[in-house]
Amino acid sequence: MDLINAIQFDSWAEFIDMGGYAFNVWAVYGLFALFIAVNILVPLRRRSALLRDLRRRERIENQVTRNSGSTPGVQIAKAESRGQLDETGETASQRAVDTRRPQQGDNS
Amino acid sequence: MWLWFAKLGSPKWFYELSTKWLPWLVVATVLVIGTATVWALLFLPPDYQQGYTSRILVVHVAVAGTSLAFFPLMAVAGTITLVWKMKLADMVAKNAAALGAWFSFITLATGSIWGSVSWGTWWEWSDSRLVSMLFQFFLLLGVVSLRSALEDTDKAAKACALLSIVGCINVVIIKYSVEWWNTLHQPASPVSLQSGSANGPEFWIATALMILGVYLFLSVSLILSTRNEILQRERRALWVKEMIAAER
Amino acid sequence: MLSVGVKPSTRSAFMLTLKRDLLIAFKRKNDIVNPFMFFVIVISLFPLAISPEGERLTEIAAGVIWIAVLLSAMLSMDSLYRGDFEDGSLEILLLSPHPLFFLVLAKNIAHWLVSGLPVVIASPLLAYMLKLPSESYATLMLTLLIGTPTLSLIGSIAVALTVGLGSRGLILAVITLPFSVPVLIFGTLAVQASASGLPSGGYLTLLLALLAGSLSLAPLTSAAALRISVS
Repeated sequence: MDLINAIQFDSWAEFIDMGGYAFNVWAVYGLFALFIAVNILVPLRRRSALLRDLRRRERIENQVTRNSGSTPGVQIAKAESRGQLDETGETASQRAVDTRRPQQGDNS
Repeated sequence: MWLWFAKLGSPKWFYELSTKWLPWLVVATVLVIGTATVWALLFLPPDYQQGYTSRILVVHVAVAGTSLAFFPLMAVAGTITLVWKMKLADMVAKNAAALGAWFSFITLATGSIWGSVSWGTWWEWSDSRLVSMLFQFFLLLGVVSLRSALEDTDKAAKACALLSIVGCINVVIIKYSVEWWNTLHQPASPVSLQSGSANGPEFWIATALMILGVYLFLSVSLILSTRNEILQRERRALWVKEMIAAER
Repeated sequence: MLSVGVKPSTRSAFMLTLKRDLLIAFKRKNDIVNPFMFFVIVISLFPLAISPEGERLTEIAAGVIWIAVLLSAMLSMDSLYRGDFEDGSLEILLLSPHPLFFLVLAKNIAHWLVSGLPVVIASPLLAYMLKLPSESYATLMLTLLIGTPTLSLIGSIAVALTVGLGSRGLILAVITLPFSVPVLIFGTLAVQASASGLPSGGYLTLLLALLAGSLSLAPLTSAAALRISVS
């Protein structure tokens, strides 16, 4: 086949060797692969952490509306102060401000 | 037209649209980068001067070319933040700064690995492209550290927007002044710093394909982190709560 | 003092801001003296670290002086808006009916007069200590005369952006130092050219262009940055 003939190498060893520049060529491609993997996997991990946090918030709010004891905001603030909701990566002062803010719809 | 513009800036709209588009974008990225990599590694004929090291350049040139897009991108996003106060623009800009720093770093790393073969040294001050890329890296890190130093999200958004616009102008000035400096300090070395002139059309097709792939990867990574930013900043918005509730 | 009800012209507001800042600077002498002493001390450390040989010092003199200027500028910039931010007079300044461009420019000029000008004046002495050829003293002073205000104007943007932060000494340097690359390059090239008997007019012109550019754009950007930081 034409495609097979177009391959520049006759054997695996030759492919790995890259004409004597094995280290440089493979280091660059390895770095490239690592770079892509990190910049895809890190956002994905952060996403699952965020979703876990959001689900926890939702659970607490549901409990609160059933018990109708205190307001959801207070309950979340309590959970935050216990360090249960720490995945959002904010500072403590910001959270304190945020929890007092009323719920917003999406705004552009 | 303005309605469309306002809609574009809505985090909810972006989130929902990107949910639909992301799988296709990922498929395209994998296909293009995969094809370009296989082509570069297996089929690219060795360069008559550089041998198989021209395979390094396929990746290096693609990442380097793409990393030049970050400051213009951030400057445009910054202008949108300052003029129209669009939240989405800042969410993109925030992640673009960090990703841009990554891109610059990888450009420097792959460049020095290539240089270790072609120039016989890992770092060469007399290559103006490397030097100005180093300063672009520093400038991007400056934007990232300003962002992390300012606690107020709104203030940080505007401050980083302004810094990105100034930085974008400055990157150009730095590039030209470094080139100027370089021509005057050209050491009498026999090593030719010119690259690429000896490469054939196969090399440029592989590189063009890789550039397309890297741009696609950039957009995938940027969309992923922007979606996270949306979830975090809009976590008290009704639509986010409804989406979480609907999951079960 | 201003009489109530009379709106002063922008020109007099500019002059008043300038005078006020100069007055404050002379009351708080540490803010002027320390960066200058830093400048002198850094330069006198280089011969100890490298070599007392005249030839080697000649080679690095221009670079050493310029780097020391950059670093001491970083230190002195820190006080540009800090005092005004802490006592609240910056907010008054932002409320002024005059274009903020001119008020920021006045503050920058006042700051340069007390921090940049002493460096320019002292530079021939330090150049002599670093064995710079005497033909290039004039060029060195000229480059510093054009370069230091440019550095102040550029640095002012970063100071304005970070004015609300508690400890910002390092972030200021991280943001500003890459911005000062062009000034550094053309400043040192001009001095090196004149030291080896070549014309340096081209570089001075480029430095002037940088000064003109930052004179027109930087106060505008600083003003916008101040409005962002103080809100």
